Amino acid sequence: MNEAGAPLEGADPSVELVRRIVSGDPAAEAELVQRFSRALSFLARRLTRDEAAADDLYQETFRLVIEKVRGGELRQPERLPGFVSSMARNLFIGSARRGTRRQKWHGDSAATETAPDPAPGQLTRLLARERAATVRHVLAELKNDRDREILSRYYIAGEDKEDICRDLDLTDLHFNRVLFRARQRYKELFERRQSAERNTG
Amino acid sequence: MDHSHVEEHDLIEAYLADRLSESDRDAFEAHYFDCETCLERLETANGFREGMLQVAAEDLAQTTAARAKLGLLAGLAALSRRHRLALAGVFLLLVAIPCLWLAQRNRDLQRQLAATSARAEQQRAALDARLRELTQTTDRRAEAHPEVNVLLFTLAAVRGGEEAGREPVNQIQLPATGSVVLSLELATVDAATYRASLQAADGKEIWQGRDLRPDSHDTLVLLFPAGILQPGLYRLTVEGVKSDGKWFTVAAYPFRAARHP
Repeated sequence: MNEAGAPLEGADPSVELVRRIVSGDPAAEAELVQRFSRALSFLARRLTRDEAAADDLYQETFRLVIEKVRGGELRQPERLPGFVSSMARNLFIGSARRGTRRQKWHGDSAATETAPDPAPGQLTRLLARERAATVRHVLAELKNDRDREILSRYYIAGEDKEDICRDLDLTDLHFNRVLFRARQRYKELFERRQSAERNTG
Repeated sequence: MDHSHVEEHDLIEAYLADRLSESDRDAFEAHYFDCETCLERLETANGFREGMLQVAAEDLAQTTAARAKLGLLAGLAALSRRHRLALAGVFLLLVAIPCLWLAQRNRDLQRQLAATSARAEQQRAALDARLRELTQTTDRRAEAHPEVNVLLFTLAAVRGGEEAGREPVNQIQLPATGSVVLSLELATVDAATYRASLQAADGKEIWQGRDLRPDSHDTLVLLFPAGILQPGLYRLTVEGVKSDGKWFTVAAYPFRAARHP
C-alpha cells in the first residue's frame, strides 16, 4: 500500500479486496460477489443437485462470507477464494446433516409432506435435454467408433483412464486428445445453440 | 496450484468424477474459485459429462420401452401354432360373446315391441266397436223414447247489442236431461241463407250452424241437447248473406240460462 491508500503494484487482489471490505467499502462487497458468483453458483449446483437449494446455498454463503470478512475473521486474506469455497461446502454439509436429523425427528409422514420435490425443475430438465442433444451431435461427428467407445466407457461406465488405454492400446496423449476435442466441440455447439436461442427468444 | 498442475494431473475430470482426495478437492476448489480459465473448462467438462449421462439415460429408456413391446410380440411368437390358435380362439370368443348377446337382446326387444303393438291395435279396435255400440244405443234410445214437455223458449232479438253488464231479457231454463228448444223469429228474411253461432260469456264459440233456412213463419227453431249448455250468459247471433255474398248480422239473442228447478 502506498501513502495515498491505493493498492501496491503486484499485491494479491484478494488481500486488497479483504482490506477494503474490512474498512467498510460497500463497493468491495459487491466486487466480492461478482468475482466469485460464477464459481460459487457452479459449486452450489454441483453440491445440491437442485436449483432452489443451490440458490439458497449461494445466498447464505455470500451472507456469511461477507459477515466474517467484515468482522476480520479471515486471518489469511490471500486465501479468500478457498475461504468462500470451503464456506459453501461446510454450509451444505451442515444443512444436509440438519435435514437428515429433522427427517428422523419428525417421522416419515411429516418428512414426506414437508420435503422439497426431489424431481428436477422444468429448467433443469430443459438444460439436460439441450446438453444431451448437443452431445448426440458431437458423437455423430466422431469419425471412428473407437473414439465413441472411449467417451462411453469413460463418462458412462465410469472406467479408469488407464484401464481404457490398456484395453484399446491407446497412449495417454491420444486419450486426452479425444476427450479434449469432444469437449471443445461440445462447447462450441452448446454456445452456438444458446446464442441462437437468445436471438430467437 | 496452477494450470499446468491441473492439466498434468487431469484434475478437472478427476474432480467431476469425485476421484480427488479431500485435500486435493479443497485445493482445486480454491483454485477454480480464483481462476476463470479452469472454471470455464470445468463447466464445459461438466456439461459434456452430464450430457453423456443424459444420452445414456434416454437411450436406456427407449431400449426398455422397445423391449417391452418386443417382449409381447416375442412372447406370442414363442407360442406353438396350437397355442396361438387357442389364444386367437379365446380372443374371438371374447369379441363374439358380447355381439351375440346384443343380437339376442335386440331380437327379444323387437318381439316385445311387436306384441305390444298388436295388443294396442286390438284394444283400439275394441274401443271403436264399443263407441259405435254406444252411439247406436243412444240413437235407438232417442228414436224409441220421445221427449215429453220439452222446454221451449222464444228469444227476443236485440238490435245493436245490449249494454255491457245489463241482465238480458231472455231467460231460459235448462232441464237436467233431454233438450231445450230455442225459437228465433227473424225480422228480415230476404237473405238467401243464414248461419247462426252460439257463444258463451267469455266469447268461446259453443256451436255454429250453417246453411240455415227459416220456416214458413220466418222462424228458426233450434234444439240443443241440454248437456252442451251450462248455467250462465250466452249470445246467439244470426247472420244472413246478401246477394253480393257479404254476410250481415240479422239479429242477436243474448240470454241467460239457469238450471230448471
